[in-house]
Order: sequence, then C-alpha cells, then structure tokens
Amino acid sequence: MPGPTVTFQPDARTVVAEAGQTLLDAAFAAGIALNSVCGGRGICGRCQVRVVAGEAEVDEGGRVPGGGEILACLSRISGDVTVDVPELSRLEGEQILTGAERNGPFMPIPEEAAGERPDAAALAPRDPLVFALPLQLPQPTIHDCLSDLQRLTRELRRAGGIQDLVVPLDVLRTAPQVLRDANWEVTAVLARTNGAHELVALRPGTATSGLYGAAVDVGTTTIVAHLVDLATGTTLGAAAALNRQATYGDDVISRIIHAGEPGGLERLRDAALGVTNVLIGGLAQAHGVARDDIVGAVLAGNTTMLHLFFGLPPAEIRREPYIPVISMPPAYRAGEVGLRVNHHATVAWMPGVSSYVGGDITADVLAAGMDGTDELSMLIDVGTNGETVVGNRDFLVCCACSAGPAFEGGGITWGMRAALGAVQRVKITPGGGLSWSTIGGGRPRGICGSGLVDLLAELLLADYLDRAGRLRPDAPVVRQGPDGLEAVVVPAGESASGRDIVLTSADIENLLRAKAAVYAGGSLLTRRLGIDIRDIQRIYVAGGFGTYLDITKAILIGLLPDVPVERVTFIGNGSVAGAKMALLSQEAWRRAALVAQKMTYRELSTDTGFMEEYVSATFLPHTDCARFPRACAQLGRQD
Amino acid sequence: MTVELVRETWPGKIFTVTIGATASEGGTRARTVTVGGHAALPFLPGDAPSPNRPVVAMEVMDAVPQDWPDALKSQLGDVMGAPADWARKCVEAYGAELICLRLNSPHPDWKDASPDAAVATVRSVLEAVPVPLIILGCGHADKDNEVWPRVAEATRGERCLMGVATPENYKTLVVSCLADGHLVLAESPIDVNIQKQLSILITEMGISPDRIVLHPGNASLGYGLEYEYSIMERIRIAGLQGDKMLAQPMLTLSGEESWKAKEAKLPEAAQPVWGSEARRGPAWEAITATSFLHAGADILVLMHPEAAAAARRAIADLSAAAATA
Repeated sequence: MPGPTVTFQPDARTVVAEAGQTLLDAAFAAGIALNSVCGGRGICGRCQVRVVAGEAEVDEGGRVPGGGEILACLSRISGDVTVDVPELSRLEGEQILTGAERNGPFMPIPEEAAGERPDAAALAPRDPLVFALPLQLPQPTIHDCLSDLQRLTRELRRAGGIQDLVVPLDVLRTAPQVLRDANWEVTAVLARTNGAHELVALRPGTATSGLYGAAVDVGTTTIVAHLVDLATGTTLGAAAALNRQATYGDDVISRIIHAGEPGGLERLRDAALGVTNVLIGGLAQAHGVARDDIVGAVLAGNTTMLHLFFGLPPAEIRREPYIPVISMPPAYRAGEVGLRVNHHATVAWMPGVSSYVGGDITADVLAAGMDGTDELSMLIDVGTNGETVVGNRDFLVCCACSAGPAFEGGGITWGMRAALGAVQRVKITPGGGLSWSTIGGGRPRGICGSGLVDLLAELLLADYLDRAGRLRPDAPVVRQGPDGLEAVVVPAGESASGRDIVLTSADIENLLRAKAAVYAGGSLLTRRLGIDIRDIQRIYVAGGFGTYLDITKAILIGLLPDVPVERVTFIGNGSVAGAKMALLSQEAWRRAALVAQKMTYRELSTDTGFMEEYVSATFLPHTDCARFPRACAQLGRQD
Repeated sequence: MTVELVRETWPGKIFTVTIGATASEGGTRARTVTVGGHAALPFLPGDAPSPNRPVVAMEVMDAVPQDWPDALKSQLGDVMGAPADWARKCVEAYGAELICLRLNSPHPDWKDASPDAAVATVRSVLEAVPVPLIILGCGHADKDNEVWPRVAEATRGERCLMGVATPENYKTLVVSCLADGHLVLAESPIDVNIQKQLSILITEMGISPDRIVLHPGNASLGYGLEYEYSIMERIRIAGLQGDKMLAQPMLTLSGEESWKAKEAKLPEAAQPVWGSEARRGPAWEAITATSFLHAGADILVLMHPEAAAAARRAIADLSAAAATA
C-alpha cells in the first residue's frame, strides 16, 4: 500500500511519504527548501507552513501562537495532507533544485565570483588528472595472439610508458566490442590516481578532445561547480546553489549531530550529492556535454563535508581527540560515490589536514601559490569556518574558527551568495542616501558578501552606525523596523521582489561576530607564532563575497588586518580554483598532498586568548585603534 | 642586608575626577570629592604616591527590596522609605563621603514611579546632605531614559556621577550629562574590552574622558570576586600604560553585590556553624570592598555602617603604610 501523499502549495508538488515522517523531510523530498536554522529541532521557528487540506499530527510546541501556522519539523504525517508554504519559510525565497527538474534554472555565477583567477591555471603545467591516450593497436594474428587485455597493456606500455594499469571489470567487458568496431584504433581514457593508472574508458577513434571534468567546492553553505574541458583547460561554465544540507543546520556541528540521527547521514549525503549532481548536470546540459564524457571530478570542502559527501560517519570529528575517518581520501569512482557523471570517472577530494582543516584550505593555498614562494604570507578564508593559514615554502600553520555564513549571505535577512542580482557595491551619495550596483546589473535580489562589507563601511564612515555596530535612529536611510532599527538599502520600487531590501540590527550583529571571529583567528595565530602582522608580506583573501572586494573597506570594518592595501590579494573562491588546478595538473595534485602534509593545525578553541581577541574585535574596526592606525585615521579616531 | 624596593614608573596617568560642585563652582555642595590622579598601582610603597585616596560612598535607595536582609534592616530600618533621612544618617552618623542614591521606584515592576517623583526624591536628598551625589537608575532601559534627562536637568551644575551607562543603553544618559554638567558611570559586564568600547562610544558623543568613572561589573566574595579583581587590575594597568579609554577612576557597588550572597544574609538559626549574621554580613561586604581596593577601586559603594567603617580603616591603614616607605 503506498504511503500518504503530501502536496505543497503553491508549488503544487506532491510526494509520497511515510506515516510518521515530518513535513520538513517531506518538503525536502519534494525539492522544497524550507528554512530551518536549527536543523529541525523546533527551536528556530522558521519552517512555518499552513495546512490547507487534511491533517498533520503536531508535536508539542509545533503550533505557532496567534496563527494557523505549524512548524514543519514538529509536524508528522498521518494521512494525505496539503500544506501551503509561505515565501518567508523558504530558503532565500527561492526554490532549490532537485534532480527531477530537467530544465531547472540553476544559478549561473560570474566567473570571477566563482574564483576564476586568470593566472591560477597558469601556475601549474597542464597535465590533467584524467587524460586521453590515442592507441593504434596491431591487429591480432595467429602469431600475435595476445589476449585483448594484454594487447592493450602492451600498447600502453609502448606508447605511454604505463606499467601499472588497472582495468575495472566492466570497462573490460566493453573492450572487445570497442576494439573491433573501431578497427583497433582507440583512445584510452586514463586516470592517474592512487599510485596507478586506471582505465576509465576505452573510446573508438583517436580523438583526444571531448573529455570534461568538474571542479567542485562543497561548502558548508554554498556548493559551486565548474565544468572544465580537460584538453584545453577552458572553463565552460560555473554554477552555484545553496548546500541543501543547510536545512539540517547552519554549521558543521549541527550537521554532525543530525548525521547521528536515524537516516540522518543518508539525508545529508543525498542533500549535498543531489545539489552537486544538479549543478554538474545543469552545466553539462547548458554546454552540450554528455554526462558520460565527464570523466573526472576534483572536489574540495572541509572535512565534515567530505565525510557527509562520501557517507562516512562524522561523529568523532566533534569529540575529543577529534579523529576523522579520513582527511586525505583516495580517489573513488563516480559510480561508488553517487556522482552522476561517467560511471568510472575518477572522483578525488582535495587532501585535508585535520578534522577542522579540510581540502578546501589546501585548495586555497594551492590557488594562492603560498607554498611556492619565500614570501611570508597569510591566507584568510572568509567562509563558514573562517580558516587562516600563515606560512611560505618552508612552513604552513593554520587555524579555524567558526565565523558563520554571514559573508556568504547566510543568517542575513536579505543576504545572498554572489550571484546575478546581488548588490555588491554600495556607496553613500552626497545627498546622504545609498547608491548601489548589482552583479550583472539587474534589479537587486539581495546583498552578497562584498555588498555587506561595503554597506557596513559606508554606514560607519557616514556615522549612521556607531563603532559598536548600532544604527543611529536619526540617520537618513535608518528607520524603525519590526525588529528594531534597520537601514533601507534598496527601496521596494527598485528591488526585484518589490519589497524593501534592508539591513537589520540583528544582521549587523551577525556580521560583526563573523568579522570578529575571522580577525581574531588570524590575529591570535600570528601572536602565537611570534609573528608581527606587519611582517606579513602578502595577504590572500578567499571567499564567495562577490566579483570584487573593496580591500580598504574590508580593513575599515576590521575584517582584514590593517596592512597597506597593495599587500592584499583577493582570490575569490580559492577552493574551487585550487580544485580546478588539481584537476588540470597532476603536478598541482601532488603539490596539494604536500601542502596538506606540511600544514600544522593550531587549535584555537582551547586557547585562553581567543575570547579576548574575539571580544576586542567585535567593534568597528577594533577596540584597539593602535592595531588599525589607517582605518582609525580614516574615521578620525585615535583612541 | 637591606631589601631594595622595586620602583615602577608608568607612561600614563589616571584621570582626576571631581564629583560634586560647590556654590562657587555652580552647585550647592559644601564639599566635593576628588578621586583618581594616580601614576602608579595602589598602595605600593616607593612608587609615585597617589594624590587621592579611595573614598567610601554609602548607598541609599528610594525603595527597598521586600527581602532586604534583617542585618541591614536592623541598622537602617528607621530610615527605610525616607531617602533624605537615610542619606543624612549615612553622612552624619556613619561618615559617608558621598551618597549613592539608587532610584528603584521608577522601575515598571516596582512602583512605576513617575520621573517627577524621582526628581522630587533627588531634590530632597540634595537638600538633606552636603556631600556630592552618585545617582543610579532602576536598570529598565526605557524608564531610565525617561528619568535621566529630568533628573540631570533638576540637578544641573551639581556635577553628580550618574549611571549606569551600558553598551546597550548609554546615549540618553551621556547626552543628559553633557547638557547638564554631570559625570557618567560606565558599566561593563566584567570585560576589559567591552569597558574600553563603552568609553570609546561615550567619548565619541563628545564628552571628555575625564568625565567618566568606570564600573567594571558586579561581583562579590565567593561570587566572582577574583574575576572582577583581575579585570579591574587589567583596566588600571592599561590606563597606566597610556590607554586613555581605560584611564578613569573605578567604582564598585560592593554593598549591593555582597548582600546577594546567601553566606552574607542567611540567619544563624539556619546555619549555626556560620555564626551570627549580624557580624557575618558586614564582614562579607567589607572583605569584598577592601579586596577591590587593592585592584585599584577608587569609590566603594557600601550599605552596612560597619562595613563602611571597616573599609575606611583599611583605606587609612593602607595609605599610611604606603606613605611610610
């Protein structure tokens, strides 16, 4: 007997559910991304829905006082039910795509926003992880009567010097047909992984083009994918979507907790995998690439994302002594992983360091080129986990501190990732109002990280905001909102949604905490290493802010240390850039492994100095003006 | 063999703050109280002697909590409900150098008294005593913001120390103090960074840093005393090192905080081994207050007359010992 059906309105989407399942899970199965910050524990009150027809069993605390709404996470399905999902209960007010939607409007992102560093690929010689080797095999005769496999190995040894061939059984099954149909002119698609060469595919003909790969940044908040032509190194396109795991909690800790619940790990794996498949599938479709021709993928993400993506239990990551199942995983085949590309495609994850420093940071270091120079440099990844790396060719030390997703737009009323329609530049006009520009130039849909940095800095410079981050009630653009003071950034008439785009007091507090955590991490790390921040010759900033980042303003709000601006380089999404370098170059892949091995992790959560650094950084730009001489001078302060 | 005392000099100096104004200064006080001005840590023989000793203020409330400890009622029961008499008794009988008037009754959960009533109370206390006033609000932000401007205006020129300004609610108080010539008491939750941030916020509104007194949080013996002690010490050291946003005199509300401890107020009958609460309570208060003296407290606000007397003896002894070296 089929289970009860749940229909979501106004999407008119119906799924068959199991009795006892929550509406939140059913919504997820239906591809409707409900907002849920607490991970479905009935705490945040964001997943409100309204029953239109039928009934749901509502647990205690699941009814919203003073209205007909119920919390989806506390409502269980007992029979057929139809619910209405208000706009406010949806993540970012947009639908997140499921594999079921073939022509889904996934979010294309500008190249720069995705971390396309013009010179990044040039840093490593092109020698892709998966490559094509054309072969002209001698026809078998009664005198040359080797088996098909031996013939193939002999030719690969001769033509490519390959001694260590591994041929998976089902590739071998197709070989006799391909070899004979192609009259012994074939191309071997080979992956150099796990210390051997693996035959990914055997294609008829000797054309070496038409092989593609994917570089993916599996972020806690956002997943970004690039589709790359392996022969030319060209990036065909980039796309991003919210990591649907966000439904089960904003940070890695709440995800790890969720993974421990029955079915939790599978849900989280499906969520990340589903989004990644949609992104790669959408890119392939948009650029006329067959999924079967995508023969390699390099992914980068933190260690928790790695565990969840591969379906490995992550519980020990958060328990002392913080032991992951893996930090430097071997390469697997797409079929085992669940990535819907060529079944035999090599799927590699950038090598990580520890439970709290993952392959995304290795990728950042690779993209910045920190490991190849004598310059003492610092890399700051303004992502959810706020990692900082200090070092050069000889040493690398890193730390992580939970900064939250604020600069990726998470937890900010009108925050959004860097995508078309995101406000990314803001300026106070001579008249005292705000002017802005969006990525792509269209009507504003929200504010991305670089827009938020600009906005805070401009409000501070105009004295609309005090140094503790409180809006001045009498300032222009500031008004009393439903939850305290707020600044109107884009009036309803000019926004895409027809509603005012605002920055609330709570948003500012979130941004302040995020920037304080990021700064405190880097500051404490250099202090513990006995390095003066002024001795750092270069600072690389990674993160999905936008297509640009105003460094002066990032310093003015105290997100970055107050060093001369020419020492700061914004590398955008270094995670995807590094993954792409490794995809396109075996040399880069080997470097990544060395970077991970060389990197020392410094635990800051147990450092008594952290809270001190953090609290002193929750001020604009900082409580101690001596550390921000240029920024304070710009504000006319010398405390 | 003689022991050579280590003498320490500091680049910075603590601001000198005078509370109260005489008739010639635009007020009505018979005498003023000056605190701060230190160039060294307190009571260290051989280091720069301090121009101003710490002082003892006594707390007067316009409304007393229902569960006010018996040990306090037995001393002050006759003046409870009559703030002017209470203040007079503190000055005349117990030698209080300052009166700290706490306006509890405007709090919506207490009596929801009007700003007019608060002003009347303040006026009556001003008339009753010749010493300068510290005036504290009820702690309800919206109500305080109604009361402060009225009280500040009514006491214009008296150079009262008014509080407390917190990072969440400081603007109205600072504006009132600026307009009517008062001083600001700035309170942080036992955190040196937040204390400094608050000083910055307050001075950014245009008040000079020598019109601020710091109140680095509330703690008492057994309830965070060490924590507050170390924060006060760090504030003072930062001030002496030249940080102008932390170079203000410091105040502690040791009376109020100490009497929250069950060890201070539990009757002997309930815990015989602890001994008489009539002695234990004031001792708790005195130990709390005198501990903070060593961390650099300049104004001790106390409740029990015996605690006040003990604190004054401690100040005298410590100052004398420092001076003889």
